[in-house]
Amino acid sequence: MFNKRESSESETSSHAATQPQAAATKNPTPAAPAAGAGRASGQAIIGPTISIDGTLKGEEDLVVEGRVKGTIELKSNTLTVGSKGTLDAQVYAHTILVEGTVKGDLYASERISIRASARIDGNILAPRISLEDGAKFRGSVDMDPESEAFREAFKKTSGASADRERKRNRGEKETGKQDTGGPSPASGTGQPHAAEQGSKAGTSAA
Amino acid sequence: MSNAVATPVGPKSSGADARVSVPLLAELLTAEDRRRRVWADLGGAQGGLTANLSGKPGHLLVADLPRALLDGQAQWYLPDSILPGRFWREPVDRFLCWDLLNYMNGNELGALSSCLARHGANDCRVHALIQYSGKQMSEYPARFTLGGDLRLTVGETGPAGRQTPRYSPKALEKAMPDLRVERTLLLNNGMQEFLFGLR
Repeated sequence: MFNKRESSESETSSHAATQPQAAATKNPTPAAPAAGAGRASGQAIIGPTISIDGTLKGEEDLVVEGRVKGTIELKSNTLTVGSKGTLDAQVYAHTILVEGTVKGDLYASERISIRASARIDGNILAPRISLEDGAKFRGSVDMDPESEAFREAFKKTSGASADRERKRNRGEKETGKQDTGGPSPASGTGQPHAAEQGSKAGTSAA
Repeated sequence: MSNAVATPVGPKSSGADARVSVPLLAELLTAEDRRRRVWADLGGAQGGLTANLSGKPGHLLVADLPRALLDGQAQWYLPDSILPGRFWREPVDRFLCWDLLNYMNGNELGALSSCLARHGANDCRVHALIQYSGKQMSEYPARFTLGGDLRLTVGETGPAGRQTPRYSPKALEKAMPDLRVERTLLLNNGMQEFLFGLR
């Protein structure tokens, strides 16, 4: 059940690292519970020379090989922090795979996988967590979905999702461009590359 | 002084990476109560322990003191100097020290003892492995890997080049006045397994 490095994930990850930045799909496929499934259709990538400071929201899988500081919300999707990726961020995602460096708290509604090459300082919360020996980790591991911290993290998420659903029902166009501090405006359709979703963020070449 | 009893477990084994039964640790991990528990692992992160604690209410702190020792941090032996205050919001029920006590002198053991008492819950237990039979040990703490069968693989981190302090239960209680030895077992790899309670 735990600590099984799924080969499909490795393949997806290495595949992603070689994808051109235009890999962001117009028809994002929500990550299936089994990571790796349905991800061949494309992932957004933040390349190694990209640095983002701000809030990233979206509805497609994302691979970070650059630097992100702030908040990442991919509630229905998978975030992969590649071996060159560095986060100083709070992350809320469906599934999180870490091969690089993270300083901050990681919240996943489904699963967090930490590879041997990972270096993490912070809290990690998910119902399922696998950690490869050799990973450098300092902080707290919480796998209790009944815990207050977990409920708190995903209460916020489910509220945002509900609001997004209401907007859809009203036929409102969502741009996914601006984080107003309110419910998530992100939509999967016709979005720019995830790196551009940094919205109010200052995006700069490292 | 405690009523500690050292009981040999199984035959003597050889080999640096031999797997070893750790009955006292296994008892802690398999306790059937469904209370929410806070565990603090003073060693490095390991998948086996994480997997074992998954699905149980509570959370696990990982301080990775061996890395702090390797990095030359002055107060490497104090988990609350490694993990900032926000991680210690709940009292800790179980501390896992692995073989780290062997690498601490009397003063460091005393400081650690105060630290554990400061952050420990009332019924806190502290688990440790003490070098007992060998005269030499690795320069740095070993890498421990907990298997699904709750046996430990002890991976040496280098050639034996450091003298073992061979702390006795009495010496440990003297050096760590906030702890009392509850039980000890002699393991088949020559280490002694200790379970401490708080005074």
